[in-house]
Amino acid sequence: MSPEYLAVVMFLGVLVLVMVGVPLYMALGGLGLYFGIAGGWSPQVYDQFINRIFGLMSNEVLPAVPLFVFMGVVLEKSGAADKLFGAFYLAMGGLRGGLAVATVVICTIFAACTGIVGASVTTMGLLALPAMLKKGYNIPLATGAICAGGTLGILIPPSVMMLLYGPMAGLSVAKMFMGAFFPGFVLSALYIGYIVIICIIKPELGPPMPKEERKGIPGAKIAADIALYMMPPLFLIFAVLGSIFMGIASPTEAAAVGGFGAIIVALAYGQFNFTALQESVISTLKVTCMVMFVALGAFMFSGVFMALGGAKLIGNFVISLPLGKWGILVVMMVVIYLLGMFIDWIGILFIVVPIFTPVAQKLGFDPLWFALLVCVNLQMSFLSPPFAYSIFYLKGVSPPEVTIGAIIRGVIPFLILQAVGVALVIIFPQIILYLPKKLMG
Amino acid sequence: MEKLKKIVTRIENLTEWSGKIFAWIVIPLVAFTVYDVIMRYLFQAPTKWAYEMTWMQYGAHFMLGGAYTLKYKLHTRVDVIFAQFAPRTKAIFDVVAYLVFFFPIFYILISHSTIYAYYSWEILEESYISYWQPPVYPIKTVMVVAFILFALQGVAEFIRNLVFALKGETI
Repeated sequence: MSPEYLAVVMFLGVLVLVMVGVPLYMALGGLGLYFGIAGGWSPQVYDQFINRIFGLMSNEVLPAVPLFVFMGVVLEKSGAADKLFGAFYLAMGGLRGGLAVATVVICTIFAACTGIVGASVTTMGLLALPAMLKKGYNIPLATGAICAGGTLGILIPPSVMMLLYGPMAGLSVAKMFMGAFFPGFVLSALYIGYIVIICIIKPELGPPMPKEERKGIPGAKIAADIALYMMPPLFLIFAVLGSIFMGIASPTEAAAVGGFGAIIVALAYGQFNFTALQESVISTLKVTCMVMFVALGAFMFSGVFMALGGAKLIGNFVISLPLGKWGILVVMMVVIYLLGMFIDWIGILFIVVPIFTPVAQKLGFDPLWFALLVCVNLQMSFLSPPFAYSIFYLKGVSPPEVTIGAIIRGVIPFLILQAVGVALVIIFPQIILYLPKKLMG
Repeated sequence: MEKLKKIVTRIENLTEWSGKIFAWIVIPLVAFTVYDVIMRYLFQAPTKWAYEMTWMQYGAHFMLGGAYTLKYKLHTRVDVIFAQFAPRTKAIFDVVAYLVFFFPIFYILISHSTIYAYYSWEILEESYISYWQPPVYPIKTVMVVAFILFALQGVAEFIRNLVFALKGETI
C-alpha cells in the first residue's frame, strides 16, 4: 500500500473508531502503533513514541493545564458563585428574564477565572436552575442559558483549549488568550440580548419575581453586596489575565498564582477545609488526566500520520476544492462543526487542526485569527447534540422534571447565536485581532 | 473466580492509593511556582530550579494519575453509539478493544520506556535545558512506573469485562 493510501485509511479509521466508542487514547495510540508498523518504521517508531511522550511531559506551556483546572475547581468549592448569585438574584430577579441574564453574567465572570467548562455548568445547574424553576421560568430558556453561559468557560481566557492549541500551531498562548477575550464577551452579549428580547416578547418565559420578596432589603444593601462579592473573582481575573496580558508572567506562572489566589478566596469565604482541598486535588487529577491522555494518544498518532504525509494529502485536497478562499474557509468550519456534534473537542483539536492550520496559512489567513475562529467553533461542540458535554453536565445535576429533550430545545437558540458569533468574527476580524495588536504590537 | 476477584481487588486498591497520593503533586506545583514568581518579581532573585521543577512535577502528575482516571472510567470516549449497546455487548466491545489496542500499546510503551530510562540511568543523564542541570533519570523512571500502573489497572478492567462478557457476572 502506498503511504498516501495508508494515511487516508488511518484518518477515516480514527474517526470511525472514536465514533463507535473506542476511548480516544486507545484509538489514537493504537492506530499510531499499527500504522507505524504498516509504514515500515518498526522498531524505530516505538522509540519515537517514547520520545514524543517525553516531549509532552517536558512541555513548557502545559503545566498550566493542571494549574488552571485546580484554580477553577477550588473556586467552584469556595462558594464565591453562591454569594454572587444570591446578590444578583435580589438585584435582577424583579426584571423579566432577570435570573437568566444573571446566570449568563455570572458564567461570564467565572469563565474568566476557569479554563474548562464542567465547573460552571454544574455550579450554575445547582444554583440557578432550582431558583429559576421555582420562579416559573420556561425550562428550555433556563437550561439553555446555563449551558451556553457555562460553555463560555472554554473560550474566555484562561482556556485549556488554547493551552493545547497554541503549542500545536506554533502560536503564543498569551496572544491566543488576548484574542479570545472579546469574542467571549460578544457571545455573552448576544446571549443576554436574546434573553432580554425573548422575555419582552413572551413575558411568561421569565416571569419577574413578586415585589414582596424583595421588601425590606434596601437597594443600597444589594448594590453593596454585589460590589463585595464581585471583588474575589475580579481580583483573580486581574492577577491572572492581567499579568499575562501585561506580559509580566507566563501562563504557567499566572496559573499557579491563580491557584494560590483561589485557595485564599476559598479560605476567605470560610468554606474551605482539608476535605475540600482533598476533593479539589482529586478532581484536578481526573480532569487533567482526561485531557492529557488524549494528548498522549494524539502524540503517538500524529507523528506517524505526518510521516505518511496524511496532513499534506488531505490539506492539498481541501485546497484544491474549487470554492475560492472563503468557500474553503466555510467548508473547514462546517467540517469542524459537524465533527463536533459527534466527537470530543480534544479529538478534533488533535486530528483536524494540524491538517487545517497549514491550509489556512496557504490561503493567506491570519494564523491567530484562524486559530480563534476554530476555538469559537469548537466551543459549539459542547452544545451540539447528540454528543454535547454541557448538556450532559447539566442533565447530571438537574431534577428529574428537566428532561434531556428540554435541555436540547433550550440549547438550540444559543447554538444559532454561536453561529452568529462565528459569522461576526469572520466579518469583523478586529473582534479577535484588536487586543493582541494593541497589547503586543 | 475467587482468585480473579482477589487480583482485581488488589490492583484496584493499588490504583486507588496511587491516585489519592499522586493527586497531591499539584500542591507543590502551585507552591514552588508561586515561590519562584515571588522571588523573581518581588526580590529580583529567580530560583534556578523553578523551570525544570515545574515540568517534572506536571509530567509526573498527569502520567501517574492515568491509572486512577481509568479506574473511574473517565478517559474520554464518545458514547453516542456505545451507550445504546446492551451491557454484555459493551463488555465484549471493551474486551476486544483491550486485546486489539490496549495491551499492544502498553506492551510497547512499557518495554521501550524501560530501555529509555535504563539508558538514562546508565549515563546518569542530566538535563541541559537550564543551568540547574537536574538528573533526568528519575522522571524517566516515573514514565515507566506510570505505564505499569496504567497497564495494571487495564488488566483489572479487562478481567471485569471478560467475566461479565462470558458469564454475565460482575466482579
